[in-house]
Amino acid sequence: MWCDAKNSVAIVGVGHSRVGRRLSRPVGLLALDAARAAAEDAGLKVGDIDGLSLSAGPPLGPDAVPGLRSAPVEWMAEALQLKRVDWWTTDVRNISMAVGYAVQALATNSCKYVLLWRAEHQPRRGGASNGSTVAPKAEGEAAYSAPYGLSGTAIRYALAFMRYMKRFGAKREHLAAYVLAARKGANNNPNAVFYSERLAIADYMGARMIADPLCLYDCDMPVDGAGAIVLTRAERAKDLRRQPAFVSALGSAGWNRDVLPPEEYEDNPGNLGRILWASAGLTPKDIDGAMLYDGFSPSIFWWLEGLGFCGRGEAFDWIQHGRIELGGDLPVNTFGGSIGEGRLHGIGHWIEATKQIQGRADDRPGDGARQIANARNILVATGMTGHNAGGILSKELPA
Amino acid sequence: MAEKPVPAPSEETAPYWEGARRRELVLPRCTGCGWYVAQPRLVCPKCQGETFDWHPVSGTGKIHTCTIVHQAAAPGFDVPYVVVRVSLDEQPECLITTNLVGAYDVERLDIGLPVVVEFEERGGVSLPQFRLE
Repeated sequence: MWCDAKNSVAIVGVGHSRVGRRLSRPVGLLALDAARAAAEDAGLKVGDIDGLSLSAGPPLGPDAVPGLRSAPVEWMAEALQLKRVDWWTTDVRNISMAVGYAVQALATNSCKYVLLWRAEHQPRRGGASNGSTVAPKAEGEAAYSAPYGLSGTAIRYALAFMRYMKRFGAKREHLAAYVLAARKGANNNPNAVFYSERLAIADYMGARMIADPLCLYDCDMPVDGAGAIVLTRAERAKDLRRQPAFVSALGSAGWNRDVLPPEEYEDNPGNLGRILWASAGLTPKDIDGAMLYDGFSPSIFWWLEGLGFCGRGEAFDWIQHGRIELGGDLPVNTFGGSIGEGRLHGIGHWIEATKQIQGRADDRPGDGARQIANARNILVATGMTGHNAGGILSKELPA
Repeated sequence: MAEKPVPAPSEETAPYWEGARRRELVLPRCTGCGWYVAQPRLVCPKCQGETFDWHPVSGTGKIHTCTIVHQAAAPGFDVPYVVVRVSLDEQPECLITTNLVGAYDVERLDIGLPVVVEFEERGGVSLPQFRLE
């Protein structure tokens, strides 16, 4: 167990910008909003921040103007007028890996207070058809997929989930249990893009299909918005405003390739589970809630099975009858997840996990009841397409 | 109406497309252990061998998984259309992406159904496609 008391690190503040569809405020300013909110939440001045880390997708091309299309570390350091940055990372894809790097930097005293953010901007689409009737060339690996109309992640998830359904007998109705639970979370979360929109089982079953068996509501909602967290060492955390959410486990695990090829996605989370439980000295029974990355809703099944909350092929049945809702055995994505809050690529999951541990998941105006009673350990897992990482936040300092 | 994408053969993939022109499904096979890969690789995922030759396969397999696409991001496709991954009879771990051509009832699509390769002419390239056997 490496997350020991001597070098313990905690999340001590969280912040969101506005989250919404096609906001007029540029993404850099949204990132600043989230960063300032997180520092204030922690009881720190922005100038106290001396470490910076972000999670970011691939560069968005020639129009990726810092501040307008992205919020990279250099731009943020300048915009926040930080006089000194003692540690930073750039462009870590998976948010939980970025958290891991920040924890290591603090554990080794590279800096005192790390600000970590994820900022999303959805570029306006130029229109799929520009009027050209010339057939596009499919090059490289796309030569084997694009000519068949296999483009975009939704179709890949649909292929993986269809196979899961056929093998184990899962139906869309089973998946609806998660989607509706997540929507209830979103309805309790004023940050969520779906805060004001209810979803009933009939809406889900009648929804427009994207790629069978995935419908519109199985896919996360692209948004503009940002979230940020502040981390520091345990001995500094105790002097701050909020109760610390201690990092009691971290994992960043590759997939297991004992079988060739693995079941796509489904086989990915197993190694992360093994590493997390060993790292924390905890078991699934010790976990009071889980924030599981849900860019596409079937991921929830693969996380729950891979992390060991239930057996292989059992999650679709396991999540029924309120088990993953507030008051159930394992509330999942109480804030709405990416399909309810919006596509913030995992920062929302870390923010909710922190607030659950701090016992203030629903302390803002407009929040609906979503605090998990006596939340002592909350698990976060992000990734799924291969680069899986996650951690556990705990109320108690690791022994 | 936009046209469907046409594969652009590269130096590495040319034998695959030349095989398709001869109405053969031809795949890279590890010279060390005989493992097939769907696309050219530098290293054999089975034995770490670094040399492959191109070898014809029967072109028969089973549906590994499938989807009916209702909202296309790809140009040229009229929805709905079917995308399938085929597991090859020679080596079930070897998966080929394809549409499912010919006449069939989409309601009856299932994993395990036998399929066989045929070839579609598109933009001067022969494209492997599968139909139910």
